Amino acid sequence: MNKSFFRKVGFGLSVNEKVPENPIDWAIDQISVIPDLNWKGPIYSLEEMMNYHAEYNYTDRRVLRQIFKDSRTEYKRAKKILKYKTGHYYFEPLWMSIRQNEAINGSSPVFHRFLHFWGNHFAIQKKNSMYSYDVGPYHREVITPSMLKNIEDLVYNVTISWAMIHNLDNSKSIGPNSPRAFKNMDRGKSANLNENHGRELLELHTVSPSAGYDQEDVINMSKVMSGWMHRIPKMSSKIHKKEENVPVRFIEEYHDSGPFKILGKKYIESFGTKAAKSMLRKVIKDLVRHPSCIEFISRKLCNHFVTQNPTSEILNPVINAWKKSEGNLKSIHTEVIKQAYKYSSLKKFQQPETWFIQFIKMGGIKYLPNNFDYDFKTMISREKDQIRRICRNLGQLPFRPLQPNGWSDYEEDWLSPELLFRRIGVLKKIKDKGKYKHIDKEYLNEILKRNFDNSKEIISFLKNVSNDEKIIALFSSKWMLKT
Amino acid sequence: MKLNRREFTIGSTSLLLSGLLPLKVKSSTIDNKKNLVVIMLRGAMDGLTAVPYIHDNTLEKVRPDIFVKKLFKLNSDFSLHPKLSGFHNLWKKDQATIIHATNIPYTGRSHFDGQNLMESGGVIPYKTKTGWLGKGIDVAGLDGLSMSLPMPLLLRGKRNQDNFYPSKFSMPSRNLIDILKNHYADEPLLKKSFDKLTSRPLSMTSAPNSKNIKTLARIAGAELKKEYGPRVAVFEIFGFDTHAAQGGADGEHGQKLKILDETFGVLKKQLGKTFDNTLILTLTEFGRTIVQNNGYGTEHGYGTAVLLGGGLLKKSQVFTDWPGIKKKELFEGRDLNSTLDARSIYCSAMSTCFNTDFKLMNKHVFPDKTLINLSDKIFKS
Repeated sequence: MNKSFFRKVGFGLSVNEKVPENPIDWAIDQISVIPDLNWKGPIYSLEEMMNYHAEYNYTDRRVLRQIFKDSRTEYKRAKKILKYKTGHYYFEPLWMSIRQNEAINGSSPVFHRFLHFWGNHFAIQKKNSMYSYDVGPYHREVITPSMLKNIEDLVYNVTISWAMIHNLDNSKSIGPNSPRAFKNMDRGKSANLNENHGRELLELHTVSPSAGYDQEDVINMSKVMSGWMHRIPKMSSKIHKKEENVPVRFIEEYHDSGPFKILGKKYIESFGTKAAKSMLRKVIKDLVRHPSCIEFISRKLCNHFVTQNPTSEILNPVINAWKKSEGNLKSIHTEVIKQAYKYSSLKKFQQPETWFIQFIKMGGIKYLPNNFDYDFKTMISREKDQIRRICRNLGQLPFRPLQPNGWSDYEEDWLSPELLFRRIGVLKKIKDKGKYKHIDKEYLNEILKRNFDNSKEIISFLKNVSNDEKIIALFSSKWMLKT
Repeated sequence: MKLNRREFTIGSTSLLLSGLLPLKVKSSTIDNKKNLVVIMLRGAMDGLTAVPYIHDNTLEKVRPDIFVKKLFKLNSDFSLHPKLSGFHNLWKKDQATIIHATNIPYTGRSHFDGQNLMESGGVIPYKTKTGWLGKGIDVAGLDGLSMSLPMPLLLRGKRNQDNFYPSKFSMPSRNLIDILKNHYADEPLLKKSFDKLTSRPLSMTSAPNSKNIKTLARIAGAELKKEYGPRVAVFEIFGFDTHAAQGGADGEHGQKLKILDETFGVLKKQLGKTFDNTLILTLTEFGRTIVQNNGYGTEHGYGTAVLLGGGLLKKSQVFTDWPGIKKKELFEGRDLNSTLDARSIYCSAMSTCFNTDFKLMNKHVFPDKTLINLSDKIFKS
């Protein structure tokens, strides 16, 4: 039946779930609607999180650093209290718990696998404590609602999101022919483009370097993007306390009105704010239809869900689905699912977090805390922080990749002695905490029956393993590490 | 495992997560084993705080609240921060050098881009997926092994390196280890990783679970001095980004310099006689502005200083083509300028420590530019 498919596109099956009669339909149904949250604990909106983040930034930068300028010890003490007050240590474990709860207990694990993929594709790298405050809500409120739309909508919504604008410094960009640039020149000040976001939109988010763009293309892309920024009106002290945590707006004063030329295509902007704002969408529309973008992202999808270095037989159906549907995400995801099923015998080394969630779900391990309330006055409990510490030890904190290209999806980057040791070590440590007591022979057979086509082979493999190490052996086996 | 080909890295960070220490040995070089220790100072170490210019009072004027007093005087132009007392002791023994007014060719003032280039050795951020040290190891024809989570860009090369980082985790029973070893036999990468994991020396498997840089420096030093032990070690110290509360001698920057100084000290003590054949080199992404800001800190800048220690140095010296710190002499009117591409230092250090031709190293590791060979000026022949 190709039961590895349930791990390829999902997180495996728990012993409480029936094996779907039609796995492809089971998976496609899940990516056809945006699922309701299963999470019953506290949850905060992006707007609320920007307020927390603003309070943290403002108090630290404008208040504590002034008050305690002569005392490092006192400054650190005061900052720690500020971190409690603004949930600095609380929110990242909370976002991770919600993310993993939906994957384990939610109705649509396949949807969440795709959400994890896009969250990593449009990565917010570890910067300015964004992992604490903003990245979880960014996944929920920016990426999730776009996942049934067109790839063009997804790219556009991500591109003008506060998280990405801030992450890639677009608010520091001034179009060289913008009114602001001329004002600056009059005052003897410089006015420069910041190319960071324009470059990554091309390189990481859409066409990739294989499109053959050059520095002029990057500059032109950055000009198109100039004006999209979070900028604080200087006249209001109340708003000023938000620091950079204000919504993104298009400010024409900073925008370069072109004309632009990107990847050989000329764009001439009409007069006015409306035309200037719509120019970015026009360019993105062309980028996501560019053959290099289609191939680049299709390849990433196949690499993630099917196998590393997919062949053209695997890749072409996805590319064709993209072209035929003009970038409809449901159509693209559907074809990826079909390829994952068809080629489920091909193996892919699992990223640490995916593997860990599969272990928790398939093993029925209790580890998410029952209560996630917080008093905003003290350090969060070790129980609440457990999930973050485990993922840190496994080498993959999903909300803080070290680089803007996200976490690697290649076996070579994850299969090192120390990282392999960490996986085995986590399994052993959880065993030492007595979390496998519910897994008797019958339970183990239920896990195998639902998730593996080679149960007999696995039972034979486990035959010589002591009872208390059988779960360690199963989840560190090649069948679990590579799915 | 071939002991004479083993390369080993140990990671460490003083405050945060990852760090590493790589090491390697090549049979032909055992008789003349030279160690290279790289310490990455993340956040932009201020060269003018570590090694202030004292020829005139320009710096003191623009930094009225954070200019450090009671310095160790090095010569008529430069002094040393008081927290670098151990480094000053090396200076007195002709085992310390400062290369001032230098940086990688990057002026963008972004930590992330800067650190990426500091590690990759390239000129376009994120373009290169390997590090200059990893590439240098490739050129020298040695195997690699690092210890960190994840593998730092600096050490990544073509070769599949090993990695290690102390933790509280423990291995399962011998029985399960044997079963898994057999189980992974038809999976080459899994097998290779597991084989390395299960054949680690006792000194690694019993290493204390400490993120303290002094502990890790002791572990690294003990391994580096072994005849067949590692040849390269890499450490990271975070927290040099002092936009505020940079302070004077006891400020945030001073505290970080103290950690750096302790690392030098532990390595020297642990290495013993091996210190004579060791070079310690610091990296940072850029320097900081000349003028202090309103928060008693400094902003992102350009030129900075590289600190070197060890017995492979020719003599103690401040090596610089000093650009000056008058307003008109500054980069973009705000930063210490850079008069030397820091990659010349990196390339010269690898050429010396790996016994490899400088031009060959330059061509393969830093192909975009012909760098200056500083070996005969800085290092013992």
